[in-house]
Amino acid sequence: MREIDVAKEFSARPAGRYHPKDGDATGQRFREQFLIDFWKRKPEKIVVNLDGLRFLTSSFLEEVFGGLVRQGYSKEFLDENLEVKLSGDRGPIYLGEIKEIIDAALKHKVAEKDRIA
Amino acid sequence: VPEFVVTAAAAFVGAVLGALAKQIFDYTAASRTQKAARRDIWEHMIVQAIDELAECTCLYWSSIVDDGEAAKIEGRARGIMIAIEGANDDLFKERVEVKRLCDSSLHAVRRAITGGTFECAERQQDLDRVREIQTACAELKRLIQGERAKLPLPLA
Repeated sequence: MREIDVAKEFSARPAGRYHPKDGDATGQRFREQFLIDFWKRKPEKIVVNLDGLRFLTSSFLEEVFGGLVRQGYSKEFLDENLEVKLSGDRGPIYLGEIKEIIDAALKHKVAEKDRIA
Repeated sequence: VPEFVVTAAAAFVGAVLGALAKQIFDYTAASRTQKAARRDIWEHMIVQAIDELAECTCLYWSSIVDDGEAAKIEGRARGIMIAIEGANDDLFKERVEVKRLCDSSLHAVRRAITGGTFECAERQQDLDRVREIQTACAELKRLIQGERAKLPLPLA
């Protein structure tokens, strides 16, 4: 298992979606360099610790977590290998949003599959 | 002890106690007024901040502003939302449920503002987002004003 302290290891101010045009601390860079690269080496659980981040944008969160689904990670794999941690009063609100993002990306993927079929 | 000494002493003690009671009463009243005034200031500040937030982010999403202006709005929006969060915490610090409702409502504002292509180099106009921001900001404002009006008179 690996725990990633996003504020310390990635950025205290994550922003934007695409790397490099939206900056250095984008959702795409976090997803690819911190999550996917690790899973390619070891298919083990990752705990993403969001504590210490003052503010999170929906575009960043969508690119990280919705992007995982778009890159082919299944619900089962994510349920088993991904945990997001955020303490404090506002933790459950953000965690709920991340769950909604993953669910929406999964729904979209199923709809796309049906459309193609 | 002569009677006039006892009377004078009693009068003196009475006067001191009276003055003390008046001081306590005045202090308590002033403290209440100050707390109520502070709440008014918080409420006013939050409402103004929400209006400013709605205005600048609707400009951001309804037109393609240049990169400099976009960066300014993105930074300002982040700052205002953090400030509103802190002000809500102070205003409703003794009302956990209300604080939770405000957090949830502010979260809807945050999602409406910072979704889509927020802070992206290739920003797109998004009028649905403008509508969503206006609705979410109006709801947050109404919630704060309504709950502020329900707060009990402050104790000293």
